Amino acid sequence: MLIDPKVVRLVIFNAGGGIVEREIKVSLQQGSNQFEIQNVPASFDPNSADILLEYLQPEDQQKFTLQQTTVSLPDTQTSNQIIDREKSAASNIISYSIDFTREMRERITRLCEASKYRTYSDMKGTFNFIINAKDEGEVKVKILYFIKDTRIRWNTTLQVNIDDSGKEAELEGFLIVNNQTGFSYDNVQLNFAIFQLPSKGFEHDHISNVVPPQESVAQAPNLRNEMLGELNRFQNVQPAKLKRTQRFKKLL
Amino acid sequence: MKASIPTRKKVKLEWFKSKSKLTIERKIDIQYTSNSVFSNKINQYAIVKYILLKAGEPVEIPPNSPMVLYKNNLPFLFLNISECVGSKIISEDMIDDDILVDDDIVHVKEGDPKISFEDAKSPKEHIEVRTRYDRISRLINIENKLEEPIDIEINFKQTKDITYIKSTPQPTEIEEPTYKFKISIPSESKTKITLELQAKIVKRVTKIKPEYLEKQK
Repeated sequence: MLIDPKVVRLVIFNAGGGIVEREIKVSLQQGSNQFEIQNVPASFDPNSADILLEYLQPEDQQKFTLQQTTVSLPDTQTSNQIIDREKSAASNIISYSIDFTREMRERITRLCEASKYRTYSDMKGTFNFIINAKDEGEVKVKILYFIKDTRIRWNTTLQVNIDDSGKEAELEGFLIVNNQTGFSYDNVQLNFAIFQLPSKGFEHDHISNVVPPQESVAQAPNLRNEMLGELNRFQNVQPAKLKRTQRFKKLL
Repeated sequence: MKASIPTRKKVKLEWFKSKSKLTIERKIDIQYTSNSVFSNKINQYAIVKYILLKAGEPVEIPPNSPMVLYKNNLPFLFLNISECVGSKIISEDMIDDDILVDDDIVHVKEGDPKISFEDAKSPKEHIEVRTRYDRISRLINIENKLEEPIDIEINFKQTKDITYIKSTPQPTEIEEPTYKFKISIPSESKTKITLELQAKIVKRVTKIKPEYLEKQK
């Protein structure tokens, strides 16, 4: 059965990515019940994906058991080919269509923009699970997964209003959530964490998504790359340059 | 907090609002080498950082988060947060372009060299070590171009080669090897510090030992 559990909680990491918590109450028939979760981004981490059953009645614990979860990600190469085709089609629409009405123009622009910014992470992953039931009934299912997509992140901005004495100030802190992914989260409980996803594996996934095979070959170790590596290491040890104050000067 | 996060959008959410105490720390770090101490002019910089002590519950703000300072409802400085410790929010260090620092040489009195010898690699050679102690006088002019008075700390750090002899004014605090001068400069005014220093100048020359020079003749 195809299900679309509501996203109830989203923990966003400041360095990008986060944890998604989804919830749904499902009806179970006696026997094996197979479910397929919709709208799971391809940026989800199959290794950390988890299903938790919350029993409505204490006796349900004996009746319903989670048999297995099945997770998989779409093929990178095929997905990138599809994305490239869509991007090309969007570009052609913009180039050759001049007779749209105002309303149509805005809608089509939105669609074309969505295609232009689409990446592998906006494709859909597969997340299925099977619950065995000894009897009919209902159970609440909680789905948890990491999203390894740095296009969703948060940062803060601090507004400091200094008073006339210059010794006291009023602070206003704002949280800015930047969601450049293709997924929307409607009325969710938001949590913010200072966290960076481990780059190993994560980087590998993304590099394989964006670098065409012929460029990967060029990355084979050679003298030039080694020398560049040395140069980069040298640059890394240079002391950071300090910024200069540029105070606002009232002209009028 | 509950919110809706639409695709490809930036959402701004109110986080906290509170009063805070503001301190502005300015400092000039001065340190010379046996070469730089003889320079006619050295570019020194005043470093400024803003420290906010937030009232109420502490917040954790990630480093490098932007911070905008407003005065009379107008933004006057854009900077980043360097760290947040408990209720303390500390800005990054910045070069204060409104504080001008000129560091000029005033006087050099060369000392008499003392000659000693060290063994060289070759037994026929030795290293002549010429050590002399020079007295250098440097003048540091600090100009406050801001429309408000400032408090600034000048930290002179002595090294094994450059040592402190005396200064005008006297240091406010001595924490060896650092001599601290805490001074206030009124708006659009200048102040100066004279440092009298001793520089240890060592020159090493490898020479053939005199007895071997004679033999060569």
